[in-house]
Amino acid sequence: MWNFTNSINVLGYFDPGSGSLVLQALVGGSAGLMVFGSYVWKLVVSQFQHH
Amino acid sequence: MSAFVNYEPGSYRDRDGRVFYDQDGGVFRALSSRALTAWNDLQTTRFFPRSVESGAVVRSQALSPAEAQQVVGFENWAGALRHDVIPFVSYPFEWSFGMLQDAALLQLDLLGTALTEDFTLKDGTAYNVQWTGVRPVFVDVVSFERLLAGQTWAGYRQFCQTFLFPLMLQAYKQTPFQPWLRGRLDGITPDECWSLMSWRDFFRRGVPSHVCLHAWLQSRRATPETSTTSALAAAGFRKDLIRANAQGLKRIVSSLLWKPAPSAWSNYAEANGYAIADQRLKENFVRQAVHSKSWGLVWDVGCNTGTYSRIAAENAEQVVAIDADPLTVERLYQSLKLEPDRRGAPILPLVSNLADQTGGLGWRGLERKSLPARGRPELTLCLALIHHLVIGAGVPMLELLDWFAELGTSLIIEFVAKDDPMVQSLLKNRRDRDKDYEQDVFERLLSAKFDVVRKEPLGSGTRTLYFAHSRGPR
Repeated sequence: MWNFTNSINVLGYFDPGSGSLVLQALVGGSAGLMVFGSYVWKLVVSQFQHH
Repeated sequence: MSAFVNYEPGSYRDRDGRVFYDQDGGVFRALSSRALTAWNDLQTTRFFPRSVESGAVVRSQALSPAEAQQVVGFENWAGALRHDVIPFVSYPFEWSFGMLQDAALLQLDLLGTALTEDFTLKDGTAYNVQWTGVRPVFVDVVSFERLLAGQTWAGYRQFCQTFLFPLMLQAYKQTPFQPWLRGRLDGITPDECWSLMSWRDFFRRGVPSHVCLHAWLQSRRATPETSTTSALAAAGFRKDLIRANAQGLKRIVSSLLWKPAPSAWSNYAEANGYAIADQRLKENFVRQAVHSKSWGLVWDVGCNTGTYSRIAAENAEQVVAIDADPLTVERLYQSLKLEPDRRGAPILPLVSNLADQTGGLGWRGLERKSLPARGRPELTLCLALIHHLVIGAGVPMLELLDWFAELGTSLIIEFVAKDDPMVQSLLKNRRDRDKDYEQDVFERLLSAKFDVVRKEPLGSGTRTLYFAHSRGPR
């Protein structure tokens, strides 16, 4: 059963070392924001599939 | 060349390349087969030879297979490089604000140029930069590697922790970064940096993203099922984003400005009340001693404005100008940068307090070495400093002179008597516990370990200069 809390807390799925990696998309300008959006979307979808 | 491989204890993190020395002090780097391939690949680029030629990257030469076999043959290394020797190894916690800033800009420039030919830097630590005088030199040549599709800059966090956050701390909070970097070799973490910022700082350049958001992202604990690197690559991460990040970081680092309050030492030259005649006498004394022979490494401890470091540089191979005050060192660094045509040896300014020296740090306590372990001076200048160490910091005079003797150094030292106004101001609010801080005691202790070849009292009557050679073994 998929838990809705997981979707809104999707950024909680970063491990401590990965925060710096993800941030590199966020500081990369508008193109980076699109990459970040795609990254988060895939993370959410994978959570759906998992549950 | 020796077949004995003497590994640098601080160079253990990168399994693909390890620094070692031969018995003559030559500096080499053993390469794994992967690193050797990357090295050969690097030679085909335009940016790398250009960076070496400009002095931004240390000059390195691959050993022939026979030489490499001779040096590293008994280990599982595929090859070896010989590096130009850095005159005196220093660490970021000994640099001034401007030095750390310039080293950061060098690192970002190299990353930017490497990206143009699809190379990247696999780390971003400040320890990859050394100095030839006041010129930063990137020394970790195996840090360059081919950029893979979708790869992020693995050195970004290191860059933040050892360059960006320490610089922000000093520029935004007026807090010297040196003790923080010395306290942890990996630097200041994002959450620590954020906890030191006020909400007002949130609106400062670079803080919302590189500090606040960074700290928040780093605090997430759960682990994704796939690796973040692969997920970002799948989401379309590309080198333009690294380039944009590097350019943004460069703008932030360049804009950081340290506006220090004047320190006790920063105006010392103007405020110390030396008579011009005494100043001349002192300069002549130092110059004559310096020109009595050619010197290799010279230390100028308590260097202040660097007047005597510059004189020492007239007849030495390398001068290390040391002062405990970060602002004094910063001013010296900036003034030396404006003297590109100055003749003589390179002068490396460093922040260090002799009464609070750096011992062995890091893994096994061997990763970062003490000052003497990085190079013992042939000549040490200790001018107008002894009263600060003995009376101010409480170092016994005997131990101080013993320490100089153990270095095996010749010494130009100035004794400042208790009736000197500067010593009087030191004693104003403290109990005079140094009853043996007297000139006759000083001379007896000095003569016990050194051959005093010259002595000259200054006109003030409270200061005397000595030139002495250690009798201890070098």
